Amino acid sequence: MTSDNNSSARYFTSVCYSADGSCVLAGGNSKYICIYEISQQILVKKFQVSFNRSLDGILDELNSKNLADGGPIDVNDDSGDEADFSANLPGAKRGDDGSRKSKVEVMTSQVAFSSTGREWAAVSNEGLHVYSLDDDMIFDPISLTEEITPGAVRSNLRNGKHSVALLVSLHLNEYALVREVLEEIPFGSIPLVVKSIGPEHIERLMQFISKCMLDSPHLEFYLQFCLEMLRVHGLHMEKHRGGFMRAFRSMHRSVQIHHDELKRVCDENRYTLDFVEDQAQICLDRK
Amino acid sequence: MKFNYKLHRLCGSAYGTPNASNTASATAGGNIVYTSSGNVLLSPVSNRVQVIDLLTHSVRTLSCEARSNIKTIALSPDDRLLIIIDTENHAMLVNFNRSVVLHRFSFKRNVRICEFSPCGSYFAVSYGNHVQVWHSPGLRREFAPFVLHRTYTGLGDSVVNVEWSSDSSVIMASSRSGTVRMWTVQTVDGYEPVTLSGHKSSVVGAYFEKITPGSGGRLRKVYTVSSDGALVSWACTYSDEGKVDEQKKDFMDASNAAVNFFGGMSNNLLSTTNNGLASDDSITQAQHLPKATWEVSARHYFHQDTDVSATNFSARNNLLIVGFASGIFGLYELPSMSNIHTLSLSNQVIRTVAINDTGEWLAFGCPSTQQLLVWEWRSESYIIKQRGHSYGMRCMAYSSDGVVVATGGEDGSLKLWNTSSGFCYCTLKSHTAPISAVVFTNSSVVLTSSLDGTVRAHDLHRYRNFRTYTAPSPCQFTSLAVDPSGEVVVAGTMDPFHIYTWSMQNGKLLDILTGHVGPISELKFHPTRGTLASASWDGTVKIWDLYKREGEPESIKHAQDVVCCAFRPDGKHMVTGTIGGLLSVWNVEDCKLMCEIDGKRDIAGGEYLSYKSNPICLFPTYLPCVHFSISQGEKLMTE
Repeated sequence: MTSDNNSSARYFTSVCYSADGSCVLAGGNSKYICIYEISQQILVKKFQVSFNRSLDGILDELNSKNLADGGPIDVNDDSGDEADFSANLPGAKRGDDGSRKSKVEVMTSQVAFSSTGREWAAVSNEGLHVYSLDDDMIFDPISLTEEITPGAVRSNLRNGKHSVALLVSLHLNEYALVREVLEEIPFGSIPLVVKSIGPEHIERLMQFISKCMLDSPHLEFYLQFCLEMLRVHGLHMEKHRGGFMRAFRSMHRSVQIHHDELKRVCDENRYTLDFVEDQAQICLDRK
Repeated sequence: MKFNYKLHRLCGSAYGTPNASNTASATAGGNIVYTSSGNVLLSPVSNRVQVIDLLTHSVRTLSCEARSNIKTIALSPDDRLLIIIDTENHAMLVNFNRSVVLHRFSFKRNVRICEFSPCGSYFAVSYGNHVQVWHSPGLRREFAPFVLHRTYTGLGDSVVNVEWSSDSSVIMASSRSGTVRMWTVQTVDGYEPVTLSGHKSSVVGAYFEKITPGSGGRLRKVYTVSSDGALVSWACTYSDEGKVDEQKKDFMDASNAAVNFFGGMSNNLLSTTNNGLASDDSITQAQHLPKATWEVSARHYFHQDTDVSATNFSARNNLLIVGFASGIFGLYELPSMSNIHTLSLSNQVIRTVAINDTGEWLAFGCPSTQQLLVWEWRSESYIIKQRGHSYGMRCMAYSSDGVVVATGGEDGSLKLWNTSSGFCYCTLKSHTAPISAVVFTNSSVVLTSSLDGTVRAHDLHRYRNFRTYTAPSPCQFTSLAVDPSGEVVVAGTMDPFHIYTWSMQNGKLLDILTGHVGPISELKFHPTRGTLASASWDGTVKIWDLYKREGEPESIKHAQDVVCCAFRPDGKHMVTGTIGGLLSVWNVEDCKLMCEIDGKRDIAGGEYLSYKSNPICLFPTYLPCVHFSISQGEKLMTE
């Protein structure tokens, strides 16, 4: 029996649809997690959860030198070598004979997609594996023509044509460039720039804004952007609700994180002030 | 939609091996290392390395993976190279900044510790009873970047700790036999390696004292700590010293007096003259050693009832940290050996201790509880206190906004993780048995079902359990779901094959749905309608309409036991999975099969040691989850 023909024991124990409903993520009592495309019924990608040979079920072919009649030979049995601090039976010289020597089998007990669609997580023996989409490295432009270059973006910026620069940078679809353009836009002209954005770019721009907002100190600036986006393009978004779900969620997440941070600081300050006031009152009362 | 998902982070434990099955490997753990800046901590977790930024309070996982659980890691002084050595003595050379594996190498003997020299041009590894010094490789890819410099022998038992002197010319190793041996890295004429033996048990750590400007660039003092709780300080006298040194001192005093007399930049001048004397025409510490004699200058005892399990020494600050097997640690100032403070961190063995360069932050690792603690001793406060689920994780759920992840563990605790930082910020321990399912209702309420016979609702504003749902007779809950409006809680059980429904608001049992003839493996609510899908080991998925009292539920038959099901977010389709590795997609409207995906071949792979070694047993004797039932028996009959 080899790994090719003992597949009978492997099956999926957890499935999850992606946020847009086109794919299914499935994991089970195996080292693999699979993503299937449902309409075509094809395997899109397979992830190996771990390559750790301290787990069982990682190697496709075991080395017969480590197998004896009585069971597997523990090659790296350095338990005598390690200083042992556990309480042993009185008189025991070799550590605990009752301790289990078997390896834990690799498996994923649950998989789940995040609602933002940018990451998913799997629970395995080693903990929670969080996989995320890191598409900063990919050059994925849309409707590229000869005029669309980073140079064009910068020259437009210099000439004060912010909406043109933003459009070109959105076509290039590079995070660093879009961010550079966004930060250059003056606060007063945000409504104008937002109005000039066509419906085909709204989703992308929302994603960029929510990403920039996460680590930027310009909170009000990006909040103004969010507000204007919703004000100007709200009707369109309402009509195409499904397509904007991911963007909405990531925007909500960014705003929520900032809100939580601010709330914590404000609450702390308020409590401290209350405390100081009370102390003052007590001092006054004493006098 | 693109699929280049990469492993971003491994949550769950900040230190130790979550997959440990036996007690010996549960108490073994790698060493924690600070980067040179002292703000970033590297902590080995099973076969990966977690990089914990203490300033931004976030954690990421290096993308490279060792072949098995990590035993020791070493970071070069310039933070560029990382050497990872695992329990099978396979070493990995990693470019730390890019986390790219540059080279893999296998040591033939047991390597317990690896240490870069302070100058960065060598690294030393313990090699069974020997110590090997290797030339430090560069960042460029080479065919064989590891070049052996020398092997140092003469110790009676396996080497526990290796220590470099500050100018990288002397190396000292302590062994389990209770002795410490000192070698020069380059051959020095007339020097015979010295063995310092003054301990009754294994020496855990041996450290050089800082070279002070007045010491003339010579080693003056060595501290050794043994596992039975004794500290010996060794003093060194040089035969060529005496008259000459006195003269030097007189000269220095005179010059200092002169500088003081003329006033001005006394400190500045003083330090430059000192430095000039200390460098002593580039004579290394090793070249003084042939004329040295070592003797015990003092003995101290820690007076703790347990063994010393880990030590570390910050030569810059003269601070010695000692971790004990009982979970207590002590901070001592040397050479006076005055106790700064002693604190009990946990009730488990402290396996590793690290101190950062400024001497502010102490880091401790307790592998049996997977604890990582960073303690700022001046302000007496925790910078980081992280702990994993004991016995592992079992289930998880994302919050609706994707900011929080809740995980339920085999130990019955519920942990909440921040997805942007990767840290656990809350642990709720209300269950007494493993948690079988976790569900978010809105962003502030989490429900958990457990094998202890309760379903509990937790409030994420006050971090407490505010409602408990139980069945009339005790039973183990295996699955849990909450309807989209958050009004009804349902849970399926293991033994009476029932589905219990409660009102979320008042916790009253509303109904018991019966009809399944096997344990309920998964429950899911339709995202828009009020219908409930229940997957069971009896090979059916039943669709219940909770708001219609009469009528049988719709039953969807499968060929084998159903172990999982999920609705599409728009509620039009449902996918189910069976123990045959088959995924079936159903149209929810008319319960018709739309398509099937046979995933058996895709998921197959990996051989189990336990089956291989027992050829009579065609089928696994032990199953990771007890999902096999009726059809398992059928198969055994047919084959």
